[in-house]
Amino acid sequence: MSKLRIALSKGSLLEPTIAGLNKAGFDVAPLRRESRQLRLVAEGGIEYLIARPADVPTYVERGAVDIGFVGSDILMENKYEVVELKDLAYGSCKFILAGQKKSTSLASDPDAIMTIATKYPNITAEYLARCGRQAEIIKLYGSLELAPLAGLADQIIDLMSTGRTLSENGLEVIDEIADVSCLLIANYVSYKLKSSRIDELAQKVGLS
Amino acid sequence: MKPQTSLTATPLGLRDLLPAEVRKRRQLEASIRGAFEKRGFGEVICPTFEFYDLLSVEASTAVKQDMVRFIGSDGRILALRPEMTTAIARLAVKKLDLDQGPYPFYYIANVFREEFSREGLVREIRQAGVELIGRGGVEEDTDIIALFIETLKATGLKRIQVGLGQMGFLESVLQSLPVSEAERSELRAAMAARSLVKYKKALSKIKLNNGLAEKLLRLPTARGDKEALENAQALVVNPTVEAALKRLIDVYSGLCERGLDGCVSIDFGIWHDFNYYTGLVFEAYAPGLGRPLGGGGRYDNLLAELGRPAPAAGFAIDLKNLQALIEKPDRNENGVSNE
Repeated sequence: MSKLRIALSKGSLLEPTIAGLNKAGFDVAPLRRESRQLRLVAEGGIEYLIARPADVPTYVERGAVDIGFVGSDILMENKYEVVELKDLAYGSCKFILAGQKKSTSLASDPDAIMTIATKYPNITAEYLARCGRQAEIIKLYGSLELAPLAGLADQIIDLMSTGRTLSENGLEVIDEIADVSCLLIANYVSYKLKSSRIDELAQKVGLS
Repeated sequence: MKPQTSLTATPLGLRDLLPAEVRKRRQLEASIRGAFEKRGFGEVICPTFEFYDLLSVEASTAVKQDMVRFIGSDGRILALRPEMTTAIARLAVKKLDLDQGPYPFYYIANVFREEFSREGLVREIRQAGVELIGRGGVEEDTDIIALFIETLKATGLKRIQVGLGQMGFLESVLQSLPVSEAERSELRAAMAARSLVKYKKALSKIKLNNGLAEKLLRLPTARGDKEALENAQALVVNPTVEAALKRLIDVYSGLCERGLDGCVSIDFGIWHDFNYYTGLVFEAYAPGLGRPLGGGGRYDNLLAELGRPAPAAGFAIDLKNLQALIEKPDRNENGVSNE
């Protein structure tokens, strides 16, 4: 039997993904061990790689692994040639446009050129194009809520799960852009050549 | 460290080859050339650049964006060819009596793209391929696919698998659905993006009866020739769809008769990026390479688009990927590092 190589996203998706694999009957014992190893071999011809979420689709696209678990936000921001097999529904959050309370919404004043801070310049550009709006996009790497408070940007486009950070910093949602959740993706050629193993895994994981 | 000055730098994505590497490359090309010539294909050489208007006539948005462009002294936009098929179709319309065919052509040539993929930036790609212009029956489809397999095997590759799809079938099924053009485009986009998630979502938004949605959903995921064909059969609702499916079955049987059934499988999940494909499409996979080794298909509308209708089909193989695979057949198959 050929080996199945699986890339897991480090961070908030890791726990639910391990739980899902466990529930589906895969050996996750090596993932449970306290260890700093990033590559782990498990029973049943399985090999896990633990990668930075934004790198998971790259490993999958190039065939360094067969399948990967990754947030759809990453697949929206950049284009990858991978097969999107299944929406696993966990890790759900939203892309939102947010601004300070009482700030003008993008839609209400069509001629104002806003400044938008974001970690996702491509998603932001697409959103603006869809709304037919012009804006200045400022790329930041984290703590987006700071930008409107410091006067760096009028609004932000970011991921929101509970909305607590937003409200604690006096910001509110102006528009919901897209839903995000964890996806199961496969390398295109692996999906063709290891079809039975991949189909079986796709069928088993994410069943509630 | 060798001296590096701004004068000896090369543009990103381009590289030099020294004799040892060129020798290997030429050896590979010789075996491919041999396979093509054995079946009576003759080599053609086309200009390295052409008018952008020509090269973009049937190109997808991605290919258009990726073309290396510049402006001629007359102000017209020129581009380095991003693939060979359009240039050869142009040559055929310009130079040949298309009532007298077929014309079996091949090329081994460089194509150019601003491809910012995770492969890194590779701007010059060596390709080998064929175009069979002027006749487009079952026989020609079968010949082309058989030659594709034969050529790959001639290079020494052992384990290859060829997926056989049918754009004509997918498109005529889409046309037969009682949906709006916008909904149809959404389904196309989902297939082109290889997203079963988006495909499923797009299907769930439209109202379809009689388990039709179920069959459509299974279309790109059905595994095994029998299952894929049975499912496809259930989607036959008019003569166009029926003819498209029959073509696929006929070619598949032809390949089986030639003893090639072991490495060919029917797969309605193959959706090719180039807009010009109208009929059968195919691509080759090998363990150890994360993307197809090469592929092709039938493009019966391209020549008409250039002013002279004539059927045509062909394929292209990426030589750099092929060579990497021949040299290291088990690169990825056994994991990144072997245990």
